[in-house]
Amino acid sequence: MMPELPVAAYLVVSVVLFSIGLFGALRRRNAIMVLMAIELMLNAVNLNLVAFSRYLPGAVAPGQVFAVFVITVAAAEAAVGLAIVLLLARSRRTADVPDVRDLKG
Amino acid sequence: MYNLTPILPEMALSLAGLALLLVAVAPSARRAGVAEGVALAGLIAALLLLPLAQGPTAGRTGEVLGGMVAVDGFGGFFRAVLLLGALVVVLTGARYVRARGIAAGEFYALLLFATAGADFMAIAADLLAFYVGLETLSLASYALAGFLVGERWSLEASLKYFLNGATASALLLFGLSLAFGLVGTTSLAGMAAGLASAPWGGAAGALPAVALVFILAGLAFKASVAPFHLWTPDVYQGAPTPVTSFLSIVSKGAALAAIVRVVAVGLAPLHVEWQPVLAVLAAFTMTAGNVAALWQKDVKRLLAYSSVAQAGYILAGIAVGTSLGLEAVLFYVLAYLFMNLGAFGVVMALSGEGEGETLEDLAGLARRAPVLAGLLALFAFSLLGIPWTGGFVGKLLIFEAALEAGWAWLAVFIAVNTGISAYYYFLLIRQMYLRSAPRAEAVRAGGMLGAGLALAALGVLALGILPQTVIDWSGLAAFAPLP
Repeated sequence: MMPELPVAAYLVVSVVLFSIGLFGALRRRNAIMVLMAIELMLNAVNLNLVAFSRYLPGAVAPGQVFAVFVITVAAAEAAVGLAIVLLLARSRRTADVPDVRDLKG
Repeated sequence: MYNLTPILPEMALSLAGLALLLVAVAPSARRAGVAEGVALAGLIAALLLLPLAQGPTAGRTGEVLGGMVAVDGFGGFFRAVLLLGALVVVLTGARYVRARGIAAGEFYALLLFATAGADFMAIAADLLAFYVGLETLSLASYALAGFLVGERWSLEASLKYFLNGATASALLLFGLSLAFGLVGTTSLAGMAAGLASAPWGGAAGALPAVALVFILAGLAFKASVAPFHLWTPDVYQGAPTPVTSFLSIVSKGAALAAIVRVVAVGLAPLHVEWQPVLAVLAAFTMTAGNVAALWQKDVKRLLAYSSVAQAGYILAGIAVGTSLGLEAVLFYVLAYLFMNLGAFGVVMALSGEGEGETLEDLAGLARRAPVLAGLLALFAFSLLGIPWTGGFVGKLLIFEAALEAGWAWLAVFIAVNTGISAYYYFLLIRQMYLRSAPRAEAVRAGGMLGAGLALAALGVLALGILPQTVIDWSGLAAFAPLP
């Protein structure tokens, strides 16, 4: 039987995952890649929630239920996001964010 | 079986939204009219059900639905504001929706679902309810911003709003997951209790602050608080004007309510940390909004920066942290509802005629449409804070609350910013009254649009001339959410 990992180990993985996601969300040009980077950030959140619910007394139900909600909402978010990108690709023949800049901002 | 009475208004909204989806696929020549009717009926039913949902004793605090939502005066006040806001948006926006050929059934359905989500943010007593409400509002708003499918700007607004919003949601969630890890509960009251009792020392001492930073960043985006406001002008300009109006009041109002719920209540034990942060953000937000508004040529962009500045004033009231400050916030939110919706309503009256939305289009409006020009002047005066308008009383209350709690520098910021904003609000008025009109034909604004504008104008004047009733009411409501 392997010794149990401390909660800090999960936190390190989730922080790394979140940082990769945030970096991708800020630096990627392609809207679909940004969407995938955001999914990485959400997965870091889920890892946090499930890891905490394993280690904290009485936190099993709220943590895991929260994670299930995050997964569900992330699916809905991806659907809306892909619909927007699809419309954009149809009208402008591009999915690159920097190409979309008629509004000065 | 849970008692569902406290969420009757949201159930009415959802039912009306589902009915609208049926309207959208029904073969009818008068689809737009039917959709408007169903949307208005749903919103009015929700407003009528609100007293029933709040229960007999106003201001009581009770958590219901397994601790998911709180029935208190604060939630009731914000629900009334959000529902009223959505109602005025439908009234003033109906003509625009018809003129631009927007698919009415789907449009109003998403609008009602978004309003229901906003309501849940205002009454959330648990992180889970808050998060689901937030995403219901956000996902519907992303789609709404892109409803002018044929127009490039609208899709661009939708894409920018979505990418920024989804990133901000992820930041917020990461903060929430850390906060959950610290206390082991998703209940806001439980979180406050856990943070107050736990001994934080050593490396763990920094964790609450880290969680706070992530949560604040996510919420600041939703309320377009500087420096997270950069999406605001683009999205407000590109989105259909009724949606802009909706975002500026319902979406922003719900985000500010959530800041009070999550930060001022759930993270109350950390107030030494977040009060100065919120105060600096408030000062930065009003300055960034007002200064950027000075050189805008597009009316919607100008109003976007103006609404950023307005969020700064409201945030100042929250940062003060006293019940007097919260009372001022509630009053200001109500005044902001009427004056901002009114200003966007006048813009919609003009753009419905197929005119552009630049400052030039306002030239000589006083001669072409004296009533509309007078109304826009009234709303601009209120946004600026001229006496006898709701905006003046609201700003005065926040100013007083800041001074009373010893935030003198914040009060100075509010005063200086009011001076800066005078320039561009008077620019609007100068365009309308002192420039000659390039065109002569009159602009009409009757029917539902007229009713919505009249409601907004009445609200602004009533709050300015008879503020005491509302102050009493918001005093009652402000007391409830503080632990």
